[in-house]
Amino acid sequence: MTRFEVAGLDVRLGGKTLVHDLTFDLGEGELLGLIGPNGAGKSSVLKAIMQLLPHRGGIRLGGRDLAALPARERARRLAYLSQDDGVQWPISVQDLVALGRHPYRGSWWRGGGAPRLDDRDAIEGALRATDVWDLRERKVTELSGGERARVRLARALAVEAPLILADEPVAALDPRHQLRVMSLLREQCRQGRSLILVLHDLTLASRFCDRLLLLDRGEPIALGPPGEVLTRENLREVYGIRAVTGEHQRQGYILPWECESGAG
Amino acid sequence: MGLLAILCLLALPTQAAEPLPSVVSTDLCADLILLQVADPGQVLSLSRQSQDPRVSPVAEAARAYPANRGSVEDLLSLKPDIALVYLGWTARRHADLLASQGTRVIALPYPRNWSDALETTRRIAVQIGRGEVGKIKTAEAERRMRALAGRTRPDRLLYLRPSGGTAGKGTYVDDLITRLGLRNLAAEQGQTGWGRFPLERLVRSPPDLFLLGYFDQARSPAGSAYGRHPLLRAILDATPAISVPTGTWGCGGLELVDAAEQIVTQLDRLGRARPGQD
Amino acid sequence: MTRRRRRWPLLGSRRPSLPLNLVLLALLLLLSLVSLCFGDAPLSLAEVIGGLLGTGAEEAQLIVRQIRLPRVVLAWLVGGSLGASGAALQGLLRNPLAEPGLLGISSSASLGAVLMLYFGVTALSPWMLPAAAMLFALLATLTLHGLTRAGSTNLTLILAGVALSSLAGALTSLALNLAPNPTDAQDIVLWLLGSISDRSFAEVRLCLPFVLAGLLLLLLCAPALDVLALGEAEASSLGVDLSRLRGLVILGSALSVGATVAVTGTIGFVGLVVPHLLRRFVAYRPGRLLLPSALGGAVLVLGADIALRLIDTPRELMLGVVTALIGAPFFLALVLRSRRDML
Repeated sequence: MTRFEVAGLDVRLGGKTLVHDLTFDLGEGELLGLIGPNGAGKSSVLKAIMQLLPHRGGIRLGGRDLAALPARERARRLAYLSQDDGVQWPISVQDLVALGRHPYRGSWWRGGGAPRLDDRDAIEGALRATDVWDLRERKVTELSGGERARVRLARALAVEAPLILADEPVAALDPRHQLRVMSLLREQCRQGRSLILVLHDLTLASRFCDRLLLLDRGEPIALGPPGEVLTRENLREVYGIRAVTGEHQRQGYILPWECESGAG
Repeated sequence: MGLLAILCLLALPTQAAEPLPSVVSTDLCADLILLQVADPGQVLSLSRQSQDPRVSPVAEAARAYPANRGSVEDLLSLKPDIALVYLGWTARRHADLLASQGTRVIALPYPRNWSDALETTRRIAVQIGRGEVGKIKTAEAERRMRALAGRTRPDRLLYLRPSGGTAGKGTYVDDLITRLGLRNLAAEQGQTGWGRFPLERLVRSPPDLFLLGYFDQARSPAGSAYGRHPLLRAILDATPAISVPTGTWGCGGLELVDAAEQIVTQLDRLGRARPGQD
Repeated sequence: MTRRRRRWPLLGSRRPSLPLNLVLLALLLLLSLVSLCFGDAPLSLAEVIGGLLGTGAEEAQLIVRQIRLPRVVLAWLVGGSLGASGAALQGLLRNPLAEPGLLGISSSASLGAVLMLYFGVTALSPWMLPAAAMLFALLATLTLHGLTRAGSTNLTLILAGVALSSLAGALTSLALNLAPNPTDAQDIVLWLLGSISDRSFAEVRLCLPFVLAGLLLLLLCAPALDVLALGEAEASSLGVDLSRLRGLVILGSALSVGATVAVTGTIGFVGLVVPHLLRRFVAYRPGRLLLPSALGGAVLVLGADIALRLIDTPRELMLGVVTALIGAPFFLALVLRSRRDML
């Protein structure tokens, strides 16, 4: 139904190719991890999908070309969490989360400012799903990093978009909060949403993602289940590392261990 | 022997036969005095403004002399015996330096009335060795001024500039207005010195007659929001007005008598003179 | 969904700024009346009201309607422009130190006005005056925006503003010195410090249409500015058209600030102080801050204009002196507070 497809995506900026000929698709309820070393073009892929970077190639959601959609329509179908937390004002948590409903607000001259009932349900649902319901009247600037990450996620969930893109949602969080946020995201997939996450932590990526897309210098290297992507060769070629792999509770895990000697 | 002779010479009192001291003026008001009383040969330089016909009534005559910008360096290079400056001259702290070079700096006081103008002219004349000329010129001016006075005019007159500026008690404008037998509205309203005549006061107590300063020049568009105000324009349209001759107005020196004569001519033309009435 | 869910209050999403706006409006009207009562002529309150309504003596009518009322209306316009522009620029640049005065927008506008006035261009049409001021304000805002868009820190923004305002101030002084009409120091002071005394409705008419248009453009930005608090990328992902938003804020500020500066000269710090004071009452939402800032700016300018008439000085104080006396310590306090991200 809401199949997401990217075909032949090229992202160029100032004569430099950031992403070259990327093709992948994403089914409903699927969690795709975008991995790759620094500068591989992971964030550029998300920004291109969000129409924030000039690009070529087809990006289609539910069969419709995203670039051709009006901004408002697109905003209802795609939720995006950027890498950096831009909020500086001490806005309350629920006000911040309510901003996720912006794509649904009417024009101001039709009294569009008043929240509608389904807005409230969406906001409350997002606050509860991310377990920040009790923080709703606190100011975002007073929150801890982990709390703030969940609040931002709640803001993205409040959009109620079928596809969520998040750029390093668990960076700078302690392990407990990393696991917590990843579980929350996983839970969203169970409810039928599709997610694309940029991740640096290969352990988390292999543990939570259905499939991984490995990028290196803008080129797609591998796409598939974690076990097929995080192979010894790929890790050596792309990251220049060796990793420990194993199995726990019938699930494979990977633990980056040491630098490949002699590799760049 | 020679040394003795020089000492003797220095000890001698100043005599008329001695060459006049050379003078430089750095200020338009001092220029006007110099042109009245000085010998053309003793004037080394006049201020630049004196040659600007927009502000100087003597631009033509002043072109005969080199102009200066009134800087200390000007004075150092001209090496006059006397330098006339205005009271607020910024380089007065260099007076000692100039004195060491043989230049005496004389600051002109700001006149508060006609007597000040006469006194200043006389004093400067004496200081540049032209005391006699000073006496003659001031006596002449005094005579002309006295001829203008003596008539009583019942009009309440308001001196006004486009910025709303007026002149209260203790200014040469007030002195002149009173001398001409008119009543200065600003002074009657209790104003002293140079100040503003608020629009509201103008509405409540309008004058019988305006004496307008600088309205003819499109001077200072920013400061003249007052002058553009439609209310003022309406009052101006409904009230007779005479204007001051711009060039002879700003200094309050002897040339004030020229201004006074022109004002009286304008008054007469308006039919404002009613001798015998009080 | 069940009704139970709706018991919790969505604080920020209701309209807490409505009572705030009403309070500010009431304060504004009260101060306007106070301002109408101050002047050289000792009119009683009854005479003032009679004069205002056109029922009193002709003298009172003239004084109240033609001298005092334009001054009050101009205070509204100037204050509203500066307050709303300050709030909008702070929202757009996401920086609490953004302000038309500090950023040099006002001084650029006054440079434009000075060029028109002193080189006689206004003789062609009085509209040249606001037009040039708005054009210069626009150029300044565009320059600033260009300079500070890519990751503006407080430091770069303020430095760019300082550079721009000193340049405009210097060019203003230069233009006044080179002008064919002789000018005095008072003129320079007026353009650098601003004043609204002795203005008439002719001047009000000259800026009114542009101020209204500018304020309307700024108010249109409110919802988008709220969302922009999330950062440009996320705001864009929520359907905010960033280039349209930038255009509206820049054009709105240039129109309203430029047009008022053309009539009053530069009045500083209003756009800094007012949004800062009011932000807490609108739950720190940049968009919702706009209308209260416009009203609050008018209140501040009106208050300052009353204060300068209360302080008995031989020469009337310049309005910009009073706002700077209030605003500069404020600015220092803000800088101290944000010292960490300045460094």
